[in-house]
Amino acid sequence: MSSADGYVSGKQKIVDHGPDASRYNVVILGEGYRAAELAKYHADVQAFVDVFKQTAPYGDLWCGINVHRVDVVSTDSGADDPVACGDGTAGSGAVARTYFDATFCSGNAIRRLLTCDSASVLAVAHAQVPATHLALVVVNSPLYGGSGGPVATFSTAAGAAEIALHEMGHSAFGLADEYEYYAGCGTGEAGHDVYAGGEPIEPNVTRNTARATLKWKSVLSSPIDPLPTTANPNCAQCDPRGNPNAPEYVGAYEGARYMHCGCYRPSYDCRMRNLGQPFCLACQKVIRDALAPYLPIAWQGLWWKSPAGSESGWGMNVAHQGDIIFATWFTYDATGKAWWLSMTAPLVSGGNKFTGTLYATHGPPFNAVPFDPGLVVATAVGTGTLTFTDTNNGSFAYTVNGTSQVKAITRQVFGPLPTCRFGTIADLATATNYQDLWWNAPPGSESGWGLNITHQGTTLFITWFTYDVDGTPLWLSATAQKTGVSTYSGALYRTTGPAFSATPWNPASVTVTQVGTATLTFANGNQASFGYTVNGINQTKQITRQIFNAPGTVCR
Amino acid sequence: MASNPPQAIRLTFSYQGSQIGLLGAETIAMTVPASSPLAPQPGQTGYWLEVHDAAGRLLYHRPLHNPIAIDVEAFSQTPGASIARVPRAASEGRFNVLIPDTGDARWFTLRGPADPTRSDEPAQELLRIDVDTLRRSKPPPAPPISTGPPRTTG
Repeated sequence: MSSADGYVSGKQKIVDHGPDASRYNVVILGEGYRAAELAKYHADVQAFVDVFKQTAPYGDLWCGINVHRVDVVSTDSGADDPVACGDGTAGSGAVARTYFDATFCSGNAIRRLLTCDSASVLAVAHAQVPATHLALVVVNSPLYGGSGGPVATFSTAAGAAEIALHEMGHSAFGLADEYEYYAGCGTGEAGHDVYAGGEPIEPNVTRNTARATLKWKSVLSSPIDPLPTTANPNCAQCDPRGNPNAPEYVGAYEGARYMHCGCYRPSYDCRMRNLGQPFCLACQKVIRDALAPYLPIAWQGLWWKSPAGSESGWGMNVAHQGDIIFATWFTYDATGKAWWLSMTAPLVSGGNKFTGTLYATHGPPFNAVPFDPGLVVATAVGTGTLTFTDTNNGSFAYTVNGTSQVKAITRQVFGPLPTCRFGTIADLATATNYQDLWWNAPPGSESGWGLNITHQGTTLFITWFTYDVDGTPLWLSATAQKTGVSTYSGALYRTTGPAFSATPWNPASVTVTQVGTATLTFANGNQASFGYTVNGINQTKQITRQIFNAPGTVCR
Repeated sequence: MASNPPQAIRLTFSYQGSQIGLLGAETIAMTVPASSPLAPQPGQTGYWLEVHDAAGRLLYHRPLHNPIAIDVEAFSQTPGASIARVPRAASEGRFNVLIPDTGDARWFTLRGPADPTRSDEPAQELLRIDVDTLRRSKPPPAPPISTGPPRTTG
């Protein structure tokens, strides 16, 4: 039995986005690695994980995925490689004593068909990681090969990871093959001319080309282009013509699911049709839809001291995109003047802890025309750590200019709380909740100031972090009510209060003075005009969401 | 207060030809993928799973890609070149599915072609199992797992 040819030596959670019960768990197991080759195995797994993360749309969904590496030691290195194979190729004749009995030329059919004992693989995966969703086996062989089925198997040869990505499309997401032949174009195959069966269940192939009921109608490239996009002129063979559209175009191309005609695919090419191609947008949407439940709720929004109201007057805006938080802390300096600090904080552990450097920033006055971002100067003043204990609670620990404190924080609630998730939609213009970090449009044109919008019900709470006439940090705030279909208006306030480090921090010492008004008019979910009057100065800025980790986070 | 973790049931089936049998089931604290947004229609082809409540309402469904493998994908000698399919010598094996273990889940059904070689024929109900039965089931027998190097004797 194969388990006599090695042993399971351990496991490691190498991508940790939180509890296994809440995330999509990919388990990678090694085959044909001797104990002395485990370092190579770890490097091979990391190389695959890098490819996996860079494969759209997985990068956008990364914070919903855990990756576990199971270390399996085999007696011998590599995999079986029979001398003779049904496809007429010659192998090395290698016989390797390996834990999962990996072999090329599986079933004496095709040399590149590399399989292993999938029942054993799943037994080990489930024993090591009970919440396994998907098991992958990387085989320590430089020969190109792989296979699908209950587990995806691939060798360490260049490009073999593509096999795993294609097979994951089948096993994890129920995607169909989009190639239009069985044995191959030009083989003269019979029985694959015209599909005459019922509508396939798979989400990426169809026999229906009616726009209103097309499975992937939501990602069609054109609302008016005729459908089908292509029709095969000779159903006795594959359609030899090139793509009449751009590579990413989504329409309905004839030829899919092993049939030359009568079955349609979304794009001319796709990873489910040819290895090495990106997933078409329709397949990407299927993957996004399936993995949506695993995406953690983003901690994006407005936070203040817990219990609520206990230190009313300062707060923390959190923009949370994937594994990165950009936090803006609006508080007061030692003189009581409004002061804001910012922090880019990447995830450091467990899916809930983010640490970064806190910066105080000086820049051109809010009314400078033009606003020159080259004059913005950021100075490191300390470090901060945000640790979230659940959706609505956490702590903020910081050291600023030698002062260290820890504050319990909670969400500031003034209306129905939206739920925010990273990566759920690619087109931010379609968003109807505006809660996010915004800055001048086009992106980067006035880097250095921004607007945090907290959107609950029909109310926006705005904190504008900018600079005073002397270039020192300044923040102003407004509670803006909905006054039109897409317009929100309110008074702008300047605030003074106890120094950030005051203990106790007395909210009764906070003073609020109206300095003007603010109006936000949204053209869509990613474009707005910000009009304001401050001390008699009127200006209007075009603003857009600040995306520091695409595709950004949307609240609903 | 922490909420209860989501529960799922992992079902393991064996098949030989068109004969499918339940090998075991296991309740696990894990989250299942989202239900497919495309509801199954009468006459559809392919394989998929469904979970219904006691009133017959469809609670959950997902497509399955060829759980009963009659052929396999073969990859060209040239890395990156086109994919093809070759018939499989023996049509037997195992497959797993995951379903949500929600309080209202009553029936699990597996749909697919009666003849695995006729993927163009409308799917039929291949299996129907009471979810309570699944909750009481045991995990499938697993192959032995070796967790340490062989002992040597001196």
